[in-house]
Amino acid sequence: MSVFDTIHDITANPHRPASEWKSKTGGKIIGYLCSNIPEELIYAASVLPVRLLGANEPEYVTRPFIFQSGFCSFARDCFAQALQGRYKYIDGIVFSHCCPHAREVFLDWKRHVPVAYSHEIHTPMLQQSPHAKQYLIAELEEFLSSLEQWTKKKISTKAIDEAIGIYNRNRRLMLEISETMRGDSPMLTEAEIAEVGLVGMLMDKQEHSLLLDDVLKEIRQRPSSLRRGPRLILLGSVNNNTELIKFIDSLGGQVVIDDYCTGNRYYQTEIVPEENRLAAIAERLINKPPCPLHDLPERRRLNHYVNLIEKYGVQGAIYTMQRQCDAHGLDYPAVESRFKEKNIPILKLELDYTVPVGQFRTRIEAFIEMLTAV
Amino acid sequence: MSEQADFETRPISDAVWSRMKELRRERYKLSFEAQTKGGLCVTGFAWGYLPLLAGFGNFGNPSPGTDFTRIAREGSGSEGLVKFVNLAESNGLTPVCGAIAAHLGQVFAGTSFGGSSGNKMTPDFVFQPQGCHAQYKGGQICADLLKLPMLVIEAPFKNSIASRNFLLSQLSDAIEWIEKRTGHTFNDELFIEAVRNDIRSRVMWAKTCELMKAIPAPMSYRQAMSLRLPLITYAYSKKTADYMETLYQDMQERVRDKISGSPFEKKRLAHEGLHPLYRPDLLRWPEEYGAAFNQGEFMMAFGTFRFTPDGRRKAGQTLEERRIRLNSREDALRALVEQRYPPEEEGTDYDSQERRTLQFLQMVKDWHIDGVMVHLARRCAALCMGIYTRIQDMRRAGIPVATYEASEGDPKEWNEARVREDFARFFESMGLTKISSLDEKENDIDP
Repeated sequence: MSVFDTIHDITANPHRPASEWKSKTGGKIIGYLCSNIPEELIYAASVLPVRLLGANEPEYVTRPFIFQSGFCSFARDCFAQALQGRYKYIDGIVFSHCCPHAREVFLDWKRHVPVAYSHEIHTPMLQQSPHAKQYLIAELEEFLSSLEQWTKKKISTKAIDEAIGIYNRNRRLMLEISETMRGDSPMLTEAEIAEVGLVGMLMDKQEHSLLLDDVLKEIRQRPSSLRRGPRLILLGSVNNNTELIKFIDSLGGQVVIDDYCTGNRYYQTEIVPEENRLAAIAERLINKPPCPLHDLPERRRLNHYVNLIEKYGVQGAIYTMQRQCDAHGLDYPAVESRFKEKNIPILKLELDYTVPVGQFRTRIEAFIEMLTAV
Repeated sequence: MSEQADFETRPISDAVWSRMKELRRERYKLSFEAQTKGGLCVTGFAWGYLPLLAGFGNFGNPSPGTDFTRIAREGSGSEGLVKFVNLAESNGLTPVCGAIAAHLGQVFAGTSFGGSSGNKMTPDFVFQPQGCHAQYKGGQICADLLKLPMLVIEAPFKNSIASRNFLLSQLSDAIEWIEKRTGHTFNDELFIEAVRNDIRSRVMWAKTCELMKAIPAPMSYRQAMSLRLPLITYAYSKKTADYMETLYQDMQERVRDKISGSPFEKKRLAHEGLHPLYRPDLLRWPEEYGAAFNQGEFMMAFGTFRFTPDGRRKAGQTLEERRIRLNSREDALRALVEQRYPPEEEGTDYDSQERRTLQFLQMVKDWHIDGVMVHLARRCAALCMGIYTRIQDMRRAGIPVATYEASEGDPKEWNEARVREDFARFFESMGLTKISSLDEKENDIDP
């Protein structure tokens, strides 16, 4: 049996690993929405952090709670799942202060789907400020203390160190897998990598790292085959729908990297040890590649893109935006301009969590044709 | 009006109304003149931190762009605001908040920093404190387009010691940043004076808002939205602080004499959310049914209020009332920070749904509000955050609530017939009947 069979099985049953973990350990589970959450602290408290992801729930579910004209389809979808009872196994929610859509979901979740524990980390928006780290450390101290109070257990430095070790190993393995896409004959597809990464957000990181070891073993045995088609980068809003990547590949493109917060950006940087563990965690959160909301006044994200373009030999970019994601919408002109400077054509697509195959087919085909004709 | 009024009305005194216009004009003029006279010119929605800029002397603040008031004046039509929104969208900005699109459309068009007589200015930098994400990302786009440096200040939505320290450090750094970037020197005395004025202006406005509890209320919500204008862009000036005192005294007299801002208050209503800025007349529609808007969070938004744990809102105090003397830059910076984070409210999460509901319900009670009309502003996630839950809470508390959909800045979202119907249905559900139509002239109050 291939390790990918296990991974596909988790993808098809995304709530199962956490539910099984809970039955097995009797432990608590925390759901979180944004990649700015210090999962290591949750893990060190012997609580399982599980990422809340979209699942294509019908729009009407959230209508009584959210004014939907202009509301992010992804955030809405996550909340819809809570309302449908899909997250009954979750004991608490932790959100990071980011866009108003995510904040609305946090407020509504607390109110309409009560959980035993909830906490909001006021992650600084202005991460480029020299004072942001100090502020974030204070927020992390408060979070740590709040977790200890809830779990009635002191979180030791040793436990935090272990958690940091587990998460760093996981990030290293994911990066190693991702970097196999740099060559001309990658042994797997970006859709597979995305799926491998996403299942890791739904389960214990130690178990996930074991799966990653198996993935690496298995792909090394795969015959490499020269792949054709323009090498593409996927950018934009949070997106856990891997069907889009498969769809682009099926039309003759070759997605080699992404910059989703549910993808490459999630495991990009490791925690570098510091005497003050919270300072080390804060340092990573502040210095990892930012989302548009945290990328100011300088546009550091664009330099990160240029690095990815060069590293992965990217020839074209597809900017996928969740419908009504104004954070990414407001960043698009700057991104487009930088890609043009680098002579990398870019195509913008708006998703409503689902992938509108019919509408996208023509646009993506034309884009790929344009790239191959150049 | 075709029916005998319930209350005596009287125009707002000239000392107040004309003074507001003078100050507005003066501020606008200053935006153009300051730079030619060697002062700074800064763009951005920097309202909460203008005293910091005043520390550098007279400054221009096309905020954000001198023609932003087009939002109020050129609401529709091919020559109006719509063309700027369209221009922003055609430059790839979609989806985007209507007000920011209106602003950025003018930047794209190159009209943002031009005056009515053809004069132009070039901002030295973009100063964009954190408001909503559309504001600060919009400020960043403006900085990109004009190739300007950008200064951002973040004030987290949580009142804590860490937040206070974070804000204080940033404000302190901001002074050095501006000095270094522009070569202008910061004057502590000017800054101290500006902070003192700013606080006095905002406290006086809060006290004036408290007078709106009176039955009848001494001015209409529509009038209040105009009369507060100097508070938005010029609160740091002694002239504005004095004006605010005059306004307060004028309103006290009107309360004493039972002079009303509206001829009827058969129902006293609150307007929740920012109204469509291109249709300020909407704020007077209740008058056709013998009702009046008397309250709304945007009327109070620029005042200094303090909150008790039970959600009661009360006007803050001036530094003089608190016997606080500002002796140094550090003192003034701390006073500015305390405006944002009152020490007595430490621990408050400003996003908390429970807190906002509690305060809203208390406001309805204290201001004797009979019903609430909510503007659901399309593409404004910040204004609409938690709005449905608050509506549910209001209904549960027995408060009549209705909604209408539009946008605060994009007239393309405006559907007159639909909004009229939403209002009419609400008024009728409250037992009101139409008694008159506002004539064009009466309705055309200066925005």
